[in-house]
Amino acid sequence: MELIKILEDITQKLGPSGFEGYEAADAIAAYFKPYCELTTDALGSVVARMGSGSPTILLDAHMDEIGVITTKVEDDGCIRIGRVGGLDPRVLPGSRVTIHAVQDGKRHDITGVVGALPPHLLSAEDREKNYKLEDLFVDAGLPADEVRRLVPVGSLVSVSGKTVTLKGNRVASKVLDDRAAVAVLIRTAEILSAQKFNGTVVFCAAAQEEVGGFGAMTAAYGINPDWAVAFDLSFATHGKEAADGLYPLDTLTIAHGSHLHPLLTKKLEDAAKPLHIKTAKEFAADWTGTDADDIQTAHNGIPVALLGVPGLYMHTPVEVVSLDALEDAARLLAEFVRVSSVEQEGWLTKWDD
Amino acid sequence: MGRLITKLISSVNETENTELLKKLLEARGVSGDEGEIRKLIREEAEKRGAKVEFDALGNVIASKEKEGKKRVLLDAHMDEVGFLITGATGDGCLKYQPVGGIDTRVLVGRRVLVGKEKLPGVIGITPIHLASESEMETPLKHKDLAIDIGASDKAGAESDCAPGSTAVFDSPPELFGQNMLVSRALDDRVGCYTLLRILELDLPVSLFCVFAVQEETGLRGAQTAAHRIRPDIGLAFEGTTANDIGDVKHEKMVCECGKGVAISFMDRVSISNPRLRAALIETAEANGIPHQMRRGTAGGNDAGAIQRAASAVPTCTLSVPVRYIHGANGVCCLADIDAQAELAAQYLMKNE
Amino acid sequence: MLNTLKQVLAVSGVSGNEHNIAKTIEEMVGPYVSTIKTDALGNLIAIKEGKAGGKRVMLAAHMDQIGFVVTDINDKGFLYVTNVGGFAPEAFLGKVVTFTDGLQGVVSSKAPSRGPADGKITMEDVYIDIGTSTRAESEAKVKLGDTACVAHQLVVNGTRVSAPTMDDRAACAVLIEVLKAAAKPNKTIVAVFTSQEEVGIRGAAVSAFAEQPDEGIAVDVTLAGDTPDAKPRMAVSLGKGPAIKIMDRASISTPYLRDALIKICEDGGMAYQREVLPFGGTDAGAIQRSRAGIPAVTISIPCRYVHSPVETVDLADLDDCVKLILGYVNQ
Repeated sequence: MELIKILEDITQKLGPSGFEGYEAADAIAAYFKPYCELTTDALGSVVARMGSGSPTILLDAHMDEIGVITTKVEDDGCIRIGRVGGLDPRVLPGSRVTIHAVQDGKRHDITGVVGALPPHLLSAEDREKNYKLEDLFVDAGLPADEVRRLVPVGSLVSVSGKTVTLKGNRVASKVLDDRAAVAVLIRTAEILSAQKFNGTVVFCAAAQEEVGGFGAMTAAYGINPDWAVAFDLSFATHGKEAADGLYPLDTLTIAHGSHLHPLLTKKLEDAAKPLHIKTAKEFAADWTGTDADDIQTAHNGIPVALLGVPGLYMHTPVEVVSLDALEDAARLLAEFVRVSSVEQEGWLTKWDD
Repeated sequence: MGRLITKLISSVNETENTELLKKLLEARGVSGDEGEIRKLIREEAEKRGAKVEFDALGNVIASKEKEGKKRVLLDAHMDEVGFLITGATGDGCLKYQPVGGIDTRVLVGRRVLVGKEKLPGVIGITPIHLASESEMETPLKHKDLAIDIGASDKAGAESDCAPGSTAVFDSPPELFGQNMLVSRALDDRVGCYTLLRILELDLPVSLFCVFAVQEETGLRGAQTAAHRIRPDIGLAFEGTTANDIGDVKHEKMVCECGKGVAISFMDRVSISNPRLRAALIETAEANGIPHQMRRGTAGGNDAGAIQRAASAVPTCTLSVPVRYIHGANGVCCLADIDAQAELAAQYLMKNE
Repeated sequence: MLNTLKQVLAVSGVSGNEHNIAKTIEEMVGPYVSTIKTDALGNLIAIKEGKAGGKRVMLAAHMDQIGFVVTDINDKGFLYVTNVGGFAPEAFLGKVVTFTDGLQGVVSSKAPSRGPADGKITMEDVYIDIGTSTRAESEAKVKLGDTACVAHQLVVNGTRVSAPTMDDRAACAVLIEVLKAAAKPNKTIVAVFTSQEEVGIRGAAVSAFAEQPDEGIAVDVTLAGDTPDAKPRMAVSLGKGPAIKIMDRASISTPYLRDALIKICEDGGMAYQREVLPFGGTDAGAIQRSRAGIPAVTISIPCRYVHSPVETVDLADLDDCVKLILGYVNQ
C-alpha cells in the first residue's frame, strides 16, 4: 500500500500518550492485520508478530502523539488546559480546536477556540513574552454549566493538521512524529511478507513515548527480543548538507552513541549500501531521547540501534518529511531483518573489539 | 578504632599491585567504547580464576559462584568520561559531544588521545590577547570548543579520525607527594582495581564482580547486570568527590583524601540499606580500617540501579575520595584504595 | 477513621528510615491479613487472599515522608542537614523536628531572621540546633546520616484535619481501613505500604516487580485547587470526594481502570472528582511500568498545603476512598 495513503489516515486518528486507544491504536492495528498476529499490551502498545522461532527482532516506532487535555472549567465557562508530552504552547493561541466532549455517554466533538488575554491588555513587558500554557484557555462558546456537562476534566482537545503533499515528494501533516515511522513499519511488514527471513519479527507501535518511553520499556520487557531497532524522527535542515545535528530530508540517519550497540549499528549501516540508500551518522553521547534508551535496559539488556528520518517543524501541526526517505527506510529495515536474522547466536555479545 | 588485624589484601604500594592499578588507569574506556579496558579486565579476572562473561551491553561479569551461598554483587564501572567525535569543521578541527559530565572550564589547554590509535590532539582557545572581555568572563560551551589533531581540512580530519570514535584525556597515572596519585579515570578504575583484588580471595559467598559499562551515561550497565544476577546484596565501589582542599568549610568537603574509605548513607539515586551500612561501619571499626562517612547527598552511582533493577536489593557504596573528579587530573590517596579493598574483603569474609 | 489516622500520623518515617512506621502499621493490620512481610528497601507488604481465580490488585500507599538528613556536625554542635525528598526549606524554618529515637531539635538558618533579600533560602543555609555546645556532645546523640522530620502536631476542625504527614499517612489510614473492612474480598489485595516514594517512587518499583500484581491502585494525596488564587488551576476541592486521577507527570491512568472506578462512584451515587495534575507523580507510575506493564490508576485524596507542616484533608474524603476501594476489590 502506498505510504501516503496510510499517512493520510493514521496521522488524523487521535492518540495522545496514554490515550492511544482513543482512535490511533485500532487504526494502526488494522494495517498490520493482513501480515501479523496482533496483541495490545497492558500499556496499550500494539504488538504485531510475523514469522516464528529465533531470533526475535524488534522494530519499534511510537504511535502516541503530544496532546492537550482539559484541567478545569472556570465559572465563566472557559476551559483550562494542560499538556500531554512536550506540546509547544506557541502553536495554540488563536487556534481553532476540536474538543472531544461527551454527551449522554457518547463521543461528541465540539469546536473551540484557544483564547488568551488580548495583547492591548498586556503590559509592554508581557507582550514581549510568549503565552504560558496556564494562561491560555479554550472557549467553547457555551455557558459554564453546559461546558461542565459536556467537557469533564480530562477531556482531550486536538488541533487540526491535515495531510498535504508538498513539492519534491514531501508531505506535511500533524503527528508525523512518529506516525511516519509507524507507517514505515507497516510498509516493512508488507515487504517482509513477500520475503524470506529467519525467526520472528515483532513490530511494536509503542505507547507513551512522549511522556517518557514507558510503552517501549514495557513492550521490550514483554517481547524480550534478541535485538531491536528503534525508529523515530531526527531533525531536518532545508539544506543539502548535514550540519550541527540537522540532516537533509532525503537522508536516513543512523545514530551512534554509548547506548547504541556498535555492531548492530554497523549492521544497519551496511544493509543500506547494496540498496544505495543515503545514510548519515547522527550522534548521541548519552540519552538519545527515543525509545532506544528504554529498550536497551529491558531485561538483561537488549542490543539496540536507532534509525531516523529527518523531519522539519517537530511538534507542530505542520511537520514535514520526505516520502522518498520513508520508502527508503522501509526497504532498509526489511533488508536489515533479512541479513541480521541469519547471524549466529551470540554475535552481539562477543565484544572482541 | 579497634585493634589492627591481619590484612587480607596486600597494599597497592607493592610493585605488582601498583602496576595493576597503572594498567587499569592507562586503558581507554569512554562510555559505549569500553573495548580496551574490557579486554584488560577480562585477562586480569581470568588470571584470578574467575568465570568471565560479557553481556548484551558489554559488561564484564566475573564470577566465583558457590552453590547455596549468598549472592553478592560487587560493582565498579569501567567506563570513564570523555569525548564522542561527531565530525570535523572546515578547517580540520574535530567537533565532539561530551560523554558524561565534563565541565568546559577544565578543558582549555588539555591534551587528548583520539581513537583506538591514540592520536594526539589538543583543545585550544582564542589567545588572551585577542579574547574579548566577555570571553574572559564566561565559560565556553562545548559547542565552542574543538579538538585540533593538526589536520588542515574536514576530509583529512575525518579520514584520520572517523566520526563516532572517542577520545580520552592524555593524562597518565603518576605517583606524587606523600602517597598520592594523579591520573585520569580514577573514577572508577580504583573500583575496578578493588574488585580484581577481591577476586584473588576465597570468600564464603557466591561472588559476582560486575565491571559495568555506561555508568557515566545513566547507570545503564549495572541495571541490566543486576537484573540478570538477582543478587542478595549489592555493593558499589566508586571514586567520589573530595572537596577537601582550598580553604573549604568542613560541611562542604563531602569527604577527605587520606582519611579512609568513604561510606555513603544517601545520594540522589539511592539510600544505603541501614543494616548493611551499620555492618560495614562495624567491620571497619572492629578491624581498624580507616573510614569516614560520605558527608553529602549529591551525585549518584550504580547502587541506585542495582537496588531496584528487579526486586529490592540492599545496597551501599564504598568510595575512594578523589579530588578534581571528571577532569583530566584526579587526585587520590593510595591508602584510601587499600582501605576500600580491605573493608570489602573483611566484610565479605565474615558474611556467610 | 480519625483514630486510625491519629495512630499513623504520630509515628515518624523519613524515606529510607521507615522501620518505625512499618512496625506500627504491621501491628494495626496484622490481624486482618494472611501474609505480612517487609523487603530490603523497607516496603511493608500485607496480603489478603480473595476468592480463587480473582485478580491480584496491588494497593499502594507510601508510608515514607519528607525530612532532613544530617550531613555534618560543626565544632559548636550544630547539625548541618540536607533535604530528603523535595520541599521548600522556608516552610520548615522555626519548626521543631524529631529524630527517629525521639530526640528533638529546632530548625533555623544562617540567613538573617527576616530572610535574605531575594526571599529564598537554600538547604545549605539550614541547620538544626539540638541544644548542644560541642561536636562531641552532638556526636553522642546523632550520627551522620540520621534523619529527622517535623514534629507531630494535629489540628481537628470538624471534618478537616491538619498535620505534617497527611502525605501520605492519610492514604495509609485508608488502606488500613480497607484491610479491616474487606472481610472476604473477591479480588486478592496486595496492600503495599511503600518506602522511598518521596525520593523517586523506589519502593513501589521493586515491590510491584516482586509481587507481580494484575493491577495496581496507588492512593496518594493530590493538590487542592480551592484555596485563594490557587495555582495550578485545578478542579479538585476538599470534601467533594476522592479524586480519580486522569494523569500526572509520572503516569497516565490506565483508561479501563479509571473508568471502572468512575462507574462504581456513579452507580453507587458516591461523590468523586476527576483530576489532571500538571506535575507530580505517585506510586502508580512505578507500578505501571514494572515488567511488561501493569494497568494502574491513582485514587487521590484532596489535600491543601502539601509538603508543609499543616497538610490538610477532609475526613469525609478518606471515608469515601475506603468505600470506593472496597467497591472495586469486591467486584
